[in-house]
Amino acid sequence: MNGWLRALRRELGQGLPRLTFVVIAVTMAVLLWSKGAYWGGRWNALATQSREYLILIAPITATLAAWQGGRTRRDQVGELLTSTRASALARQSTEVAAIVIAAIAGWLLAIALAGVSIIRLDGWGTAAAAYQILGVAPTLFAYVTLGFAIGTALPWRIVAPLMGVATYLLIGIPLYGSDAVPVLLGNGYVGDDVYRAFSARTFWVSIAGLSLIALTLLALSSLERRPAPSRTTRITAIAAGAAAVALAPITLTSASAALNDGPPPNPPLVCTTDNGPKVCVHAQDRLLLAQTTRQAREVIAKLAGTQGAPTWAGPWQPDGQDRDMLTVQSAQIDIRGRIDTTYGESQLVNTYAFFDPAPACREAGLWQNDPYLELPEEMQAFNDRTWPLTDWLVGDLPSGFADPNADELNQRFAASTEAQRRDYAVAVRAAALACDVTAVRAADQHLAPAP
Amino acid sequence: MISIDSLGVRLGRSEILRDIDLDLPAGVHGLLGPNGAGKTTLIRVLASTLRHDTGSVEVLGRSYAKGEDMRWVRQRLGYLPQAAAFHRGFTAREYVEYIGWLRRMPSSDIPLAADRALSRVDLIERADTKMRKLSGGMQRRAGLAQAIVNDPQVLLLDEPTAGLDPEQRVQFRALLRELGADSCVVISTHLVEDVAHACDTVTLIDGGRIVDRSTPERLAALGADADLPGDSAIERGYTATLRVHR
Repeated sequence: MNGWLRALRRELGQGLPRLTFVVIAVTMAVLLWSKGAYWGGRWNALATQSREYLILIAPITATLAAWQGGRTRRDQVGELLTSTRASALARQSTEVAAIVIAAIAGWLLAIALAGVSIIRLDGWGTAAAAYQILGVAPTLFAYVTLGFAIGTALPWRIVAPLMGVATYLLIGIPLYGSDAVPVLLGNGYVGDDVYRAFSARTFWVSIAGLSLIALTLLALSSLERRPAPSRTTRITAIAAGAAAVALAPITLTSASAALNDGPPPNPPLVCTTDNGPKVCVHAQDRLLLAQTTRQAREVIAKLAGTQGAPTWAGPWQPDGQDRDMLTVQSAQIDIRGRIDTTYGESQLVNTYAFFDPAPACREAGLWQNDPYLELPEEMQAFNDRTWPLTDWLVGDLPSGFADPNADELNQRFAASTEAQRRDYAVAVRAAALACDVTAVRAADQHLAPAP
Repeated sequence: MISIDSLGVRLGRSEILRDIDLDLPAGVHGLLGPNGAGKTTLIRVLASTLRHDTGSVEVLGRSYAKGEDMRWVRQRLGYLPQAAAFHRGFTAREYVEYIGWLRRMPSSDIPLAADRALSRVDLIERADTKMRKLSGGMQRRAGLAQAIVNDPQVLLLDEPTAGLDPEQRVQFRALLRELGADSCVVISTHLVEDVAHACDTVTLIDGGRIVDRSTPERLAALGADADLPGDSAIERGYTATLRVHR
């Protein structure tokens, strides 16, 4: 076996890579399952959701990597290692690789478990859309290398947690402060456009920039390999390292701004050909739309006895309430999309469909909040009678349907079994979507009698 | 094997070593002196971990002035620093194999060499124990094992017997004599007994200078009749030599 691989295997067996694996896997699993309603049954939603968690995973990984970087100094082995033949890079590369592998493995384990639950519910479906998750690998590599480099250069124990906080701020501030720079240091946080971040050169430039900065810091910190670097050399190294860190955001912002001027590379768009406004939809959004409209047809058939639903092909019309939106309507289903002209040609992004109840119902003022089924998993939950109970407790009924005997209903709801509560919730939901107040009132027959 | 000419080392304004001239052939050589004499500094210079300011150092015929020559020497070097130096999460075997890899041994040779080194320091039965779980003496023996894993031509040991019990010291001295048959072994110590029983030559260092080059036998002879503090003749000889040069 190659010596480097043997050294890597040795590092993988150490406590910190194991800890990294467990922490990342557990954190991801908790985050994913706590938001299960948002990705349940959808591969691309899982991809988006899991990438968004980089805002937490990246700081954790950087913290652990910084701790690993300080190991040489903590264990006082610098003197011994300096006397050996191998380059610092050879030694450090095994340490970095061990953390990277552990982090990615932990990440993928949580994703795989979520994937299994999707397959059990909905089959393989659009599993190909989950390829975007692979973009996490270079992101984690960049943050591990950066954390390790800083931990090596500044090997004090306090540096590791500070590294985590700094990483969180570097990612979080641009995210919350502006829509324009989420790809800058987020590296995979995608905001509204799930496709663009991992296809844009900005992403790869920021990854390459972070990695380059990290490798520069590593090279500077490896000056310890030389016999007793002079004070001038040490000061120069520290100043250069500090400058590299300080200049990172500026450098990457400039690079991102410069590269944002060009179009994305070969986006797999599908465009309409009718006489309305020409719009283009990402291929993966089409898959989502197909899934949504399939569910919507079932909803329509159940509630209104009508058939049909619009397709993405149009005709699209400007939305009367939001000038950035286009909409196409058929039966009681609307498909909506946000217009995006960042890359020149008009595109639809963040496309979704929702079932809208009868206009008469709206005009009667019965729908004043939460009026529709929007996402495909909502429609699927309705069709499968698995609607989450917490969304349909008595007190949360749309105001137009609020029951005058709410207190009594609450008591009966509390006294009911799980099955009775679920039958009640589904009955209320179906009646509300059908805009039938009488049926809403009658749904209480599913509940237990008043105690 | 080691040739030092007019060596000088400064740390800040302090002159740690000055005018060191030393030629060390194969054999076991002791560096003896009081605390702060400069023994560890000299060992660190020989281990290529500390830069010298004046003079020249040649090890195995290669000068440390050239980077490539220094790396060539590092491959053939064994070094046990004064302070405990190991990754706490490694097992003893992993630690020794790790240093073997860093010394650029052929990877296929490393497992066997590591086991042999651990056997020589009588630690093979604890080879799979984490370093942090070994006693201080065992950690020191694991340190010795890493220093000899590559069968070094030059072996540098800084206070190697610190933490070893009497039986282990005896075994260690036997090992030193065995190693010194083909290699140049340099031991920095303040324990006169180690020098008396293991070394071929003794170099006394005091105040950053070499004050005497001798043999254990000659030191013992100097102390045989001297009325000086010391439990053995060689200790009295050591004290006498230092007093003469102060």
